Amino acid sequence: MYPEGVLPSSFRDPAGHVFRRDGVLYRSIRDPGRPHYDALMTSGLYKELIAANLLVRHEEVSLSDNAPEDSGTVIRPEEIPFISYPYEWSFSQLQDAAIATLEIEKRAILSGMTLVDASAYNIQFLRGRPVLIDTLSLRRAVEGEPWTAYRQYCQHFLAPLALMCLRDIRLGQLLRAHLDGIPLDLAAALLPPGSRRRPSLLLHVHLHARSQKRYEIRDAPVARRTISRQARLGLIDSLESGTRKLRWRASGTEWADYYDDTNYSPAGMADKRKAVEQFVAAARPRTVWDMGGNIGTFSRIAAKAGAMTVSFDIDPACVERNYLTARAGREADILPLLMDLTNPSPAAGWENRERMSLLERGPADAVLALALIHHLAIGNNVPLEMAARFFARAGRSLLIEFVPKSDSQVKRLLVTREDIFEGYTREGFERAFEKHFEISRRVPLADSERTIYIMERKRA
Amino acid sequence: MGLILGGGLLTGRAAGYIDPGTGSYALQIAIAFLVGLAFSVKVFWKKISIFLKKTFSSKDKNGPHVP
Repeated sequence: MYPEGVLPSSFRDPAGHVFRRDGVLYRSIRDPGRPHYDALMTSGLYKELIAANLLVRHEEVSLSDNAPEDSGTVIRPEEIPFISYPYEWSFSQLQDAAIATLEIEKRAILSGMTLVDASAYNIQFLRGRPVLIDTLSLRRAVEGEPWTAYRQYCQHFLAPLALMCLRDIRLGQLLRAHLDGIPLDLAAALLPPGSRRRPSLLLHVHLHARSQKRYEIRDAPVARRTISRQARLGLIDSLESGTRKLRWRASGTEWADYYDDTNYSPAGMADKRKAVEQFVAAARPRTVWDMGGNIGTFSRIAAKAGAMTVSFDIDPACVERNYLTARAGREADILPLLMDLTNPSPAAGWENRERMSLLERGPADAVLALALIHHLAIGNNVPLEMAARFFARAGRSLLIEFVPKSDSQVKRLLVTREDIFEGYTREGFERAFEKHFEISRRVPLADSERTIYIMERKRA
Repeated sequence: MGLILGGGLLTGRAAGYIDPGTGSYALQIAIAFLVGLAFSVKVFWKKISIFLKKTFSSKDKNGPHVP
């Protein structure tokens, strides 16, 4: 029997499980996984992957009491501060995760090992870089055996990336419905005909889909051959060049150029910046969620103050630009993610517990909600009381900007809408939020009618 | 590619239900020679280009040849 605390997402692999005890995350290694783990540690591959920042670091620990009965070894991996999922990643985040997966497999081949899973869920962002978190998915290779994770790589990475850049960036959201990656026949049907002119897509998506179809038929003939190490390396090289050639330029979406079209004066913007700086300096949060973070301008203030900051935005172009900035600046404390706050990531998978909902991954120590409330309350008809409840579930401290109806941006929102938002007033806002929070400060922004509120969640 | 897939590489018969992984397996077997060859050519070409670069850069370092 396993002790309480085995993670609901850790059930598929009989070689080991991830569990939490006293707030600490551990991975048990059971007998079937032991030879593979030993090979990983003695082959030099572990050290190599750690040095290349491709694998999560761990230490072996002794848990004599209440350890899983049949686990000879328990390791304590470095914990990922915020678990994110591929349907929350921008194009380049998914692409970097894909390249990391192939790089690991390439190095594994050269060490006589192989990556048996190429699941995008096994990759997480740690200090801004994609790393493999499933240490036990590295196994001793069987000589001549084809790559068992080939199909998974194509479904989890190549097909979605191709769809996102060659058809529509929003097709990345298909990953939310298809947790084991986009079926290749679906990808082949959705990709433009021109995609067949790219050898890697022709081979690994179109012909791959056709081959799958052919072998779906009962009693179809099955190939029984081995492949050389050079062929395995060739397959990885072909996938890598195909993956790298996919490009998406982040522009043309609704929010990508937001900061060119705001109504803040320089003094108003300076007030806003200062309010955020003072808030994070006083609250000293370890984790911050910036809701509607756009390209991460204010997320960076929190990140620079040392908070692990998740910068959510609904616009794929903003998230992409935010990630590229973070990557170029080697920013370790900022994680841009795609999130529609009116329909945040749900709990999904087996028993609805395999992938966590957004709120299950919280609460954050602090939440930023700048220039957002009017989009929720007026753009999406979310009553202020319900918005307040959501923010109270998301974090303990809140910095939120109230944008009144008299503001030019709200007037724009109301141009084509009937104004049914009688309660959307400063008083109505304060009344709704005071049900869940204690308001500690009000900061008016210069040359504007907007106000920043700083609040603490009331104890339940 | 269809020729390769349908050709003599395919032997044996699977009993019962076959999952989509079987088609992936078969495709890998079918393209193994092709991708392996392409990779070998690429590695060989890289080695040649490194050799040529080294050769010419060392000549440049010695300065122009004066008869």
